[in-house]
Amino acid sequence: MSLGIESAYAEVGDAELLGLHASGDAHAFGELIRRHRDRLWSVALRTLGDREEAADALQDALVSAYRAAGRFEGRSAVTTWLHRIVVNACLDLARRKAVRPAVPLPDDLDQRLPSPAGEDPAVRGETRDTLLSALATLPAEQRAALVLVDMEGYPVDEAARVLDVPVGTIKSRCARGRARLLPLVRHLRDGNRVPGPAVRPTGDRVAHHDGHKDGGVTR
Amino acid sequence: MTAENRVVGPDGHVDVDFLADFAEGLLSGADAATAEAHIATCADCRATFDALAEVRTLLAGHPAEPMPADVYASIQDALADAAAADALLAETGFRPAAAAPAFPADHADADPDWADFAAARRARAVPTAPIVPTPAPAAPSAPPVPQPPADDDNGATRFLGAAPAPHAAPPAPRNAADPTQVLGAAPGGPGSGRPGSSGSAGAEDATRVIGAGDVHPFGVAAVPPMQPPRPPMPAPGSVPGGGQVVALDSARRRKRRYVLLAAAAAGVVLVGVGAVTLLGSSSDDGKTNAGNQAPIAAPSQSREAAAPAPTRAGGGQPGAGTAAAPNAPASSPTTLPAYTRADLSTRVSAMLDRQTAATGVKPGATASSDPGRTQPGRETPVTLPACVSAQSRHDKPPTAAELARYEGRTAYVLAYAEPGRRNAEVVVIDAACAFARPGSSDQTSGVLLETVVQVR
Repeated sequence: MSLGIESAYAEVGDAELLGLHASGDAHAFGELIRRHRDRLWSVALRTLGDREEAADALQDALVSAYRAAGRFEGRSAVTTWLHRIVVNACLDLARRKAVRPAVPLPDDLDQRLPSPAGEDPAVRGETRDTLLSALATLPAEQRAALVLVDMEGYPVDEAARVLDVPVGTIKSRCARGRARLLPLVRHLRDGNRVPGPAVRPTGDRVAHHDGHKDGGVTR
Repeated sequence: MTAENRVVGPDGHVDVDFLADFAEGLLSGADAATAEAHIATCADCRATFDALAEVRTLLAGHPAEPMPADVYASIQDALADAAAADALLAETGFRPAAAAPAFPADHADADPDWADFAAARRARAVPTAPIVPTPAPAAPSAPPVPQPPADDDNGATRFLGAAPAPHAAPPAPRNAADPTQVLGAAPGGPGSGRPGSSGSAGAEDATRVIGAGDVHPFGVAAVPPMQPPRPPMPAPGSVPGGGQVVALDSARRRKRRYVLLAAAAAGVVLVGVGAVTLLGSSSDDGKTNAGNQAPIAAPSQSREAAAPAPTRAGGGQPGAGTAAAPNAPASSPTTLPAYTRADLSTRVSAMLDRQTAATGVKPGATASSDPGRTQPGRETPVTLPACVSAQSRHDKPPTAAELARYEGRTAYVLAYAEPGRRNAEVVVIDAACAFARPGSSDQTSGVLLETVVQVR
């Protein structure tokens, strides 16, 4: 049966929900999570590449958010705040995971990437898994930037707020991440072009060549 | 070195990183112009440049997966555990020693914004006495791990993202009264799977106690009974390797969480029994000692009811504590109508009036016109969850109903009016069951009030 509570909160904004939660409303935080759960889950899963770890990180992050809601001051969107907590939990877990031996990628990873055109669901699932595996080879910071900007469609400045880094750093991380992924999707250069919308312009063409802690050109 | 030499390598091509930077607009003007000119004449580099764009398209086309139901249920469990642990601590009235939180001052040095934030955090980080009776703050207590931002714009990434600063305070020792431990934070270390156990989590907040304004995120206002842990989520099948080890970690962690929660519950029971014993021994003269019932009754009461009186605003009016929570934003909206026992008659009358205005049918007519329905009249502003309907003794749907706040709790107010009568039966049912996870004890959250009031 549909929940009347959902309809009761239908007109309530995220910030108001968080305020209600902080003031003792028993259901406001649950409604907030219900609204954004899919996107938060998507970010966690893509950032960590592992369902179980994503579930753990997301769970811990949301418990933290539940308890820290009273300290939210409204200087950013609630979704940005939530994503920041989730991404940080994921990055923290990824960093600690990095000290453990990583599962090696298959040698034929690039060969296993199928052509997206006309693919069946099984192939699409394989593409998804393989892409997650390829993402897992990236440093966590680059991966998080790519997840937010390229996969989740966040504007660069919003991703910068989520990760609390300068815009140029986000761009640099995205550029580095794409360059690292490129050998893994080599087949794209062999004629199997990916259909889809045109690549979005980043908008900001100001040179940020210098001054990014993980940016710059490596040659 | 010329721009051409910087951009084009000895093999006559532009490095892929350089191309990626160019695509992202990160090159300076001269380098960008050189790269652009080269791409225009070099087919290989142009193909690489195009492939970089297609990587982006490939990522954008990666389908998002909705949150699985078991993950959502797991999160609900975790939030319920957090609320229960906080409630336990609140009912004991103690807070353990707090340690100063760690601040990544290295970031403060590098970033003026972060410096301001860090300074503010330091200013707030006043270590507390080892054991302090807690005046029931309204804001949720502290994150176990990871530490979320104290405010919304700064800190989270750096707080969690950076390795602990060399001068950072050590993490707070975990003990039975520590919410982070109650909630199952495994000791840090590889494989523990707990974000934030690196010691960056601030211990200041980890010792805070949920107070009057805090209620279970899904409606549990009292300590839930111990439940067996949910089975661990199935091992991931999408990413090869490593899944079972992680799942085992999670299973252990969840088991530990329940063990610790049980230990905390046992502690509360012992405190309660001790209080009963002490107070009982002082009332051997046969007088009724209402006070010694408090520790026992507390777990079954809402935290607001169990909270110390000074934390309540509004002269101790029930429910006022939540409305006047110290951490609540001044502009916190209360979108649900607030019922109290005192104004019940007035508010029920108003609700019935609205029902009449919406349907054009006098009170009672809607119910009698369709006695087989389990839902209130079609114009009733809210659809009742089955668990709420099931708790009403009435076979027929209410004349009017709405979701509201009643005495500080979210509840459904059901009014049953008969035609021609100037009174109505009112049943107030806690809405907690509507958000409870299937099979949990929260499914039956109880009738808060059942009475008859006069209506206009």
